[in-house]
Amino acid sequence: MENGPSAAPGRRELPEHLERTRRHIEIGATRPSNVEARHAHDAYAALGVTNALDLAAFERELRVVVRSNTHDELVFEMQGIDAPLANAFRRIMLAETPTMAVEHATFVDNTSIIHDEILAHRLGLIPIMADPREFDYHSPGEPFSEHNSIKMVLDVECKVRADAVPDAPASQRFENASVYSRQIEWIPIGAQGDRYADNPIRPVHDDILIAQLVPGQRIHVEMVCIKGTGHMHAKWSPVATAYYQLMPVVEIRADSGSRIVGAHAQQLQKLCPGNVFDIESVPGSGLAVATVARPQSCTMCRECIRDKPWADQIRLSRVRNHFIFSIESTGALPAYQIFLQALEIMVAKCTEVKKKLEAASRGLPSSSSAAARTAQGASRTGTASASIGAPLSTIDEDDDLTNPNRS
Amino acid sequence: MGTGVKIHAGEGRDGAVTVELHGEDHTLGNALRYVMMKNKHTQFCSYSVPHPSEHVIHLRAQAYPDERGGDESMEDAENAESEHVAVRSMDLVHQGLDDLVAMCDAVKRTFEAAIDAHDAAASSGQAAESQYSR
Repeated sequence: MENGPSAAPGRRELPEHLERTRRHIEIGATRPSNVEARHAHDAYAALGVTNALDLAAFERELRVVVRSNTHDELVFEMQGIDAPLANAFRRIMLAETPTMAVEHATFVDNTSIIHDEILAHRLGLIPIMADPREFDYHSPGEPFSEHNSIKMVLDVECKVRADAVPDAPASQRFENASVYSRQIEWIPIGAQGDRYADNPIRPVHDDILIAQLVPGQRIHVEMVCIKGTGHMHAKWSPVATAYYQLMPVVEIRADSGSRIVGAHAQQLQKLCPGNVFDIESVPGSGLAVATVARPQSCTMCRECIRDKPWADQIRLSRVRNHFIFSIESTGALPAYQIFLQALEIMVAKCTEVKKKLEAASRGLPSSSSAAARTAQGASRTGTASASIGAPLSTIDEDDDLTNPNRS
Repeated sequence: MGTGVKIHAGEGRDGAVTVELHGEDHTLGNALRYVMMKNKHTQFCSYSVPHPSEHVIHLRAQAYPDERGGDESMEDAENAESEHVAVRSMDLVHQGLDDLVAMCDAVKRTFEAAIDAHDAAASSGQAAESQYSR
């Protein structure tokens, strides 16, 4: 089964009108059109054009341009990838990339007006600065250890300051009138103190308001953080949000015969809330012509294609395979690391499923040759991967994997 | 996350296989369906989530029946054919998983290069500009 660089290279270009439908989602005044992507390898077979996967071409045509990269936020463009993959990466970043978060809260004392349950939930949502890759998952019933848990304590009591001035605001008269995340204290287990001496475990942000107290009230809670994924609870999601948008395209149709000039151009420029259009004067003619200056500011509000006279002259669309990713980290991991981890998790998922399928294939009564053919398939793939570079992880073909669901 | 797989093969005469992937959802399901659709040996491929609160997907794949080869000793032509196609259909799933891994590897290399390029440009004081911004 060869569908890679070794396959005979088919033509890949389509006639212009079909290439347009392949690349663009059209945005009309009332609805988008041409939304469905055609992924089948034989979608354009009648034209002698292959739509099959070509790994070498995929990597060659893939473009990534980083727009901004900080610890907390990464914005980049990725061109040449299709929605099912881009969406898989997005979903993995949101739901399957692990972090550490408070899971168990034991209340020793809570005389504040906030109920234990609410406070426990608030504590859970505080991002914890700890590298989840250095911890194991904690299974139910398993004892907490330095390898699968982080212990923290919050013990605050509100008191009247000895030097309090009467009539001053509560924040000045009372000690601990506001409880902040910086007051959470990390209690190292085992060798954790030495291991994380350079980068102590703590809440990512110091100034998260947890509760407000009046004199005489006290909160004393012991917390255990464990590793988890956003799939179980959003508190483990490493991102505030991770999303993408498709590259917007605004065109003034060349085939419309006339340009948008003079008063019309000015009207159009005013009309656009995204300030997409500029007006340029054509040298010598004295004409002021509307031009598309900032297409990326377009929010596809469609104000410009609602009414004549220019509705027929402007064409709005999105590029189907050009994604603008925005990843906003909660702070526990640098934003670009979250994307890299998502890629690794995707590879791990595929490798795990493949192993299980191989194990399950051996139990099939009807196809004695299945295992042999599978092994053959794997070796062929190895060659294909090698031709485009070293694989991220190799497929382990050991036999001791047992499948609980084998029939 | 996953807890196992189950293969349903040889249940029809068309050689299609259905694979139950426990612990997986649209994330892998749609990506795998996409990459398998792009395999030129695939006649049919789709997936479904049978129930939204059960964490399992069903992936169905069917290879083209035309390219025979391999086991020539089979007597019953029809059975041999469907069984042979079933094996090839399973191969599609394996190939799809391998292709996904290869694509992730390619994305990783390209992404890391882009991050390095951006950081290098940022440290040398240049604003890295998108080639697409006008």
